[in-house]
Amino acid sequence: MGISRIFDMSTRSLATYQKALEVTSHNIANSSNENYTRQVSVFTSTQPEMNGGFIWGTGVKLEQVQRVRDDLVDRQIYNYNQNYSNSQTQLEYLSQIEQVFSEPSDLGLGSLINEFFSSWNELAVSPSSNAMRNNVINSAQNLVSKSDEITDQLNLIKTDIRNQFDSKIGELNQLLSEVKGLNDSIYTARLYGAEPNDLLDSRDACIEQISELVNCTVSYDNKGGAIISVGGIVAINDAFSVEFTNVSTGDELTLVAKDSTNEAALTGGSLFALKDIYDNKLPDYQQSLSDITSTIAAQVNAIHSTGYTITSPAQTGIKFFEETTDGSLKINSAILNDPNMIAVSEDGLEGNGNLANKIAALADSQLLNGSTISEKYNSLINTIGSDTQLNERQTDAAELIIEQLKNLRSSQSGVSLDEEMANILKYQRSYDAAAKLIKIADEMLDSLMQII
Amino acid sequence: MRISDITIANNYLTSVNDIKTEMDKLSGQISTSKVINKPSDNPTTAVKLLSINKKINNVDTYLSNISDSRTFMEETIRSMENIQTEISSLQIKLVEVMDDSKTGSLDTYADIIDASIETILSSANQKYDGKYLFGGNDFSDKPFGFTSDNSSVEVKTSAVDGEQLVNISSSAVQKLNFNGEDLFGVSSQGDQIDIFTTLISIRDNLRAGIKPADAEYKVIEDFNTNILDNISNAGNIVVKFDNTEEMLTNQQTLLQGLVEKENSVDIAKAVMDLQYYDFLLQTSYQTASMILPKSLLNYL
Repeated sequence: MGISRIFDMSTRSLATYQKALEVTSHNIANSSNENYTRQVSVFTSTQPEMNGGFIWGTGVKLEQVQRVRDDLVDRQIYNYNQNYSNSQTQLEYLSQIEQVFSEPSDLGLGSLINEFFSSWNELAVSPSSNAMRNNVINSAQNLVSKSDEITDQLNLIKTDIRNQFDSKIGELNQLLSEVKGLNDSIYTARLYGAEPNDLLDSRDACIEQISELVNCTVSYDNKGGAIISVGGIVAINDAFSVEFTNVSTGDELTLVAKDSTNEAALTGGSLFALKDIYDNKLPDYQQSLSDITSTIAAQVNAIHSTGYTITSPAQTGIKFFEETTDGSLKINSAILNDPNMIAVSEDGLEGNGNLANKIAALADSQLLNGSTISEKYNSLINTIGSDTQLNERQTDAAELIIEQLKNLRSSQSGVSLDEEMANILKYQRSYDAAAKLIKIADEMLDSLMQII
Repeated sequence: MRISDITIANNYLTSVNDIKTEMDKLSGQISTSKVINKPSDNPTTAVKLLSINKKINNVDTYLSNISDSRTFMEETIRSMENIQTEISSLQIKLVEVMDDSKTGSLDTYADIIDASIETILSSANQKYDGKYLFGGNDFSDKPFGFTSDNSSVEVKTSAVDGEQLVNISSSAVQKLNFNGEDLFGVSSQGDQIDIFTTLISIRDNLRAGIKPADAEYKVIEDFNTNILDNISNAGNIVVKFDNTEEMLTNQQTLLQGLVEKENSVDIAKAVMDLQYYDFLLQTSYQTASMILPKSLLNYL
C-alpha cells in the first residue's frame, strides 16, 4: 500500500466525519422540535482492494443518514388521536352547555320551576292579594327569562359548532393539500436517490393533525407516497387529492367530497365530535327542554283558562301563557299589565283560590310519560352531566395513552442532547485522528524526500 | 428505555399540569365551599341535590303558608272570642232580666242587647288582610247587614259558605276559614241569621215590656255552644299548624343536613390537600430547574 493511499483514506475520513458532525448538528438544532425525527449517520467501510495477495481496506464512508421512526407507534397515535380529539372537543362544548343550565344552584331552571309552582301555592292562601299575584308574575318572569336564556345560549352554541365545523373542514383541506404537495416532493427527492427525512417528518406531522380532525386510515404506496382515506373516502393517493365541504341537510352536518355526493362516514376526530353534538346531543337536550316548557305552558293554561279573574267584570277563558310555535314560554301580556287577570277562582269569587292549588299541584303530577316536570328536568341535567363526565374521563384516558405513545415515539425518535454530544466527541476524535494521520503520512513522505 | 430531552420536558409539563388541575379543583371547592359545582362533578349527586332543593323549596312554601294561615286563624279566633264573650255576657243579662226586681228597667236591658247586636255584627264583619273572616270567598262587601225592616241580620253578599283551602304539607290540605255557615248556619244572599233575629226580637219585646221566652234563651244558648265548638276547632287547627310547622322545620333541618352532607367541602382536608399539591408543584419546579437545562453540554 502506498503512502498516498493513507492520504486518500484520511481525506475520506475527514469528509465522512464532517458530514456526521453535520447530521449531529442538525439533530441538536431540532432537539426541541416535536415533529422532528432524529437522524443517525450509518457508516460503512469502503470497497476493499486486493493487492499483492492481500485485501486492503480503503477507509470509511457515510452509507446513509437514517431516520429513526417506528410506523406502528405512529399508526397507534393516529388511532388514539381520533378518540382523544373527539372526546376533547365534545367535552369543550358539553362543558359550555352544562354552564348554560347553572345547576345545581338557586339560579338554575330547576329552582325557578319550583319557585314558580310555589308562588301558586302561596297565592292560594290569599287569592285576592295583589302582592301574591305579583309574586306569581315575578316568578313566572324569572322562569321565562331563564328558559329563554338557555334556549338562546343553546342556539348560539349550535351556530358556533356549525362555524367550527366549516372552519375545521377548511383546516382538513389545507392539510390534505399539504400532504399532497409533500408526497410529490418526496417522490421527486427519491427519484434522485436522496432520502427526504425532513419532508417525511413534515408529512407525518400533517397526517397526525388530520387524525385529530377525522377518522382516517393511512397506507403507503411502493414509492413511499401516503394514501389517506377520510371516513371511507380516498382523499389522497399518488394521482389525486380530494377537497371536502359541508353540505348540511336540515339539522345535520354532513362532510362530503366536493363535486360528488359521497358522504364521509365520520366516527372519530373533532369533526365527528362537532357533528355528534350538533346532530344528536344538542337537539335531544333542546327537545327535552322544549317538552318541559311546553308542558308547563299547556297544563297551566288548561287549568287557568277555566278560572275567573278578579277584574270587574270577572273574565274566564284567559290563558296564563301565550301560545308560541317554538315551545318557548311567554306570559300573557294582559296578565303582565294587570295581576287581577290571573284567574284562580273556580266560581268568580275573589276569595276562591282553588285553581291556584290545582296549578301548584302540577309540580308533583306525572305529566311527562310518567315523570313529573322536575323529574324530567333532573333527568335532562343528569344526561348532560353524565355525557360531560363520560367525555371528561375518555379525554383523560385517551390523553394518558397518547402521552405514553408519544413518550414511546420520543424515546425512539426524539433527540437526546447527551447522546448527540457524545457523538460529537466521537466524530471529533475520529476527525482529529484522520487529520493526524495525514500529518504522519506527510512526515513519512517528507522523510523519504530528504533521502533524495 | 431511551430518554430523549423532549420526553423529560413533556413528562414535566404533564405532571405540572396534573398538579395545577388538582389545585384549581381544590381552590374552586374551597372558594365555593361546595363539592358539586356543576353536574359533571357527580351527575347522580347533582340530581340528588336538585331533588333535595325542590323538597326544601316545598317545605319553605308550606312554612310560609302556615305562618300566613296561623295569623289569619288567630284573628278568626279573636273575633269569635269577642262574639262569644258578648253572648256569655248577654246570657247573664238575660238571667238577670228574668228577676222580678228588674221589671222596671227592661229598657236598659234592651239597650244593652242593642249594643251587643252591634258588637257581634261588627265582629262578624271583621276583615283581615283584605279578607272578611267569616265571609266565605266573596270579599266584595261586608258579608252581613240588617234586613231592610231591621228585624234581623242577613247575608248581604252572594254567598258566605266558600271555603279557603291551603296546602300545609305535601299530603295535607287545610280549610283556612270559618265561614258564615260554620258560624251562623247561613250560606246564600238573603239568608237571615237566627241569633240576630232572636236578639232583635228579645230587644223589641223588652222595649214592649215582655221578657224573653225560654225558646229564645235556648237559641242563644245553642249559638253559644256552636261558637265555643268553632273556637275549639279553630284552636285545634292552630295546634295542627304548630305541629305541622314543627314537623316541617325538622324536615327542613334534615334536608339541609343532607345538602351539607352531599355538597359541603371538608375545608380542613381541602386546605391540607391544596398544601400538599402546592408542595408537589414547588418540588417539580425545583427538580425541573435542576434537570431540564442539564446535558453533557454543561460539562464540556
